Amino acid sequence: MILLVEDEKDLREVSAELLEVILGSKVTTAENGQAAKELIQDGYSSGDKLFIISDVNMPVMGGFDLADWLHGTDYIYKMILISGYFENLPLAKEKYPEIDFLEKPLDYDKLGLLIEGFGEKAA
Amino acid sequence: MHAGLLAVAGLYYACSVFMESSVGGFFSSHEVFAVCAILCSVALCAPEVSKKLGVSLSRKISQIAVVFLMCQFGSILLRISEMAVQGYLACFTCFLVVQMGGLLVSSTEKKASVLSFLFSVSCGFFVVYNQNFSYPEAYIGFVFAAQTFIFIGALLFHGYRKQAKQVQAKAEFAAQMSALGTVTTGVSHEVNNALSTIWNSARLLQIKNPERKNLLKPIENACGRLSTVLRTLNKLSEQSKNTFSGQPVNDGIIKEFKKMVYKDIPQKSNGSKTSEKIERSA
Repeated sequence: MILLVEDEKDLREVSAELLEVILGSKVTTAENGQAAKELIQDGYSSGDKLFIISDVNMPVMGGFDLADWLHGTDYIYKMILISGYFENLPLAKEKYPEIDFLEKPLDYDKLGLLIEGFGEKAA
Repeated sequence: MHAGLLAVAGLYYACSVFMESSVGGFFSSHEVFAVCAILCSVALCAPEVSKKLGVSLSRKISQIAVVFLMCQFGSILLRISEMAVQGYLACFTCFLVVQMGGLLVSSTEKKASVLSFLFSVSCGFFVVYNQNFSYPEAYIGFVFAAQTFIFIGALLFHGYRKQAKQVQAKAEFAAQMSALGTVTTGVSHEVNNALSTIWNSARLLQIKNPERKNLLKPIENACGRLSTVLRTLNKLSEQSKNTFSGQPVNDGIIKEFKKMVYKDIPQKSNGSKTSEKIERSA
C-alpha cells in the first residue's frame, strides 16, 4: 500500500492523483498522523508492506510521531518524510536512519525510484 | 597640534623636575611627575602612535592623562603661592583645573566634576577652619588623589556602561532576528504548500493534456524558481533564529539570496542593475 499523509486538502488530493498517474498504483490518503495510524491499524496486519509518504508538520499527530509509532510495530514499511524545509536535517537523519527526507515540491522521479527500491509496485 | 601638546607635556615635565629640585616639599619624589608626563606624552600623540591599541583605549588614556596634567599643573601653582588661605585656594584651584579637565571629556566626567567640586569645597572649609592642621600640603595631595580616582572611576564606569549598552543592543537585535526567523518559517511553510499544489496541478494537467504543455511548462518553471527562493529564505531564517544563540548570520547566504531575487530585474534608467545596487549596499 502507498499511503500519503498530508493535512492540506487540496495538496493531498492533487498529489495523490498525480502519484497514481505517475506510478500507476492506488494511493490511499490520510489527513494527519493519527488518521494514518488508525487506517493502518484497522486495515493492515503485521507483516504487511507499507510505503508511507508523510508531511512533517501536521495537527494532532506529525510525521515524526508517526515514524516513532511505526518503529515499534511489526509492519514492513518504508517511510518518506516531506517538508518545505528541514531544520537540523543531519540530526534528523542520524536519529531516523531508516527514513528518507524529501523537500516540497516533491521530486517524483526520485520518489519513484524509492518506491521501486522498496519493491512496492502497482497492484 | 599633537606635537605642540607633546611639547607642552615635555615643558611640564621639565618644570616639575625643576620645582622638585629647587622648592621641594610637596611630593617626595619626582617619579610621579615623570609618570604623568609620560602618560601625557603617550596620550597626546596616541592617535599617531598607538593606533594598534584601538581608538577607544587611546581616548581613555588621553582623558586620564588630561586630568593628571591639570591636577599637577594646579599643584605647581600652589607651590608658588604662600597665601594664608592656602588650603582653600588649593582646593578651589584643584576644582577649577579638574573642571577644565572635565569639560574636555564627556558628560559623564562632568558629573564627576560636580562631585569633585563638592568634595573640594568641603575640604577647603575644613582646612580654613582648622588652622592648626599641620600638613595642609599632604591634605591637598590627598584631595588631588581623591579627585583623580573619582575621574578614573567615572571613566571606567562610563566604559562599562557603554559596553553594557552594546551587549543589550546586540541581544535586542538577536531577539528581533529570531522573531523574524520564526515568522518567516511559518509564512514560508504556508506559501510552500500552496506552491506545491500549483506545481502538482500543472504537472498533472501536462500529463493529461500533453498538447497544452507549452502553457503549463512556464507554470512549473515559475514554481521551481519560487521553490528555490523559499529554500534559501528558509536557510536564512534558520540562521536568523540562531543569532539568539550567538551564531552570526552568514553574509554569503544573504548575498546569494539578494542575487537570486534580483537577478532577473531589468536595468534601471541610470544604467546599473538593481542587483548590483543591492550588492554594493550589502
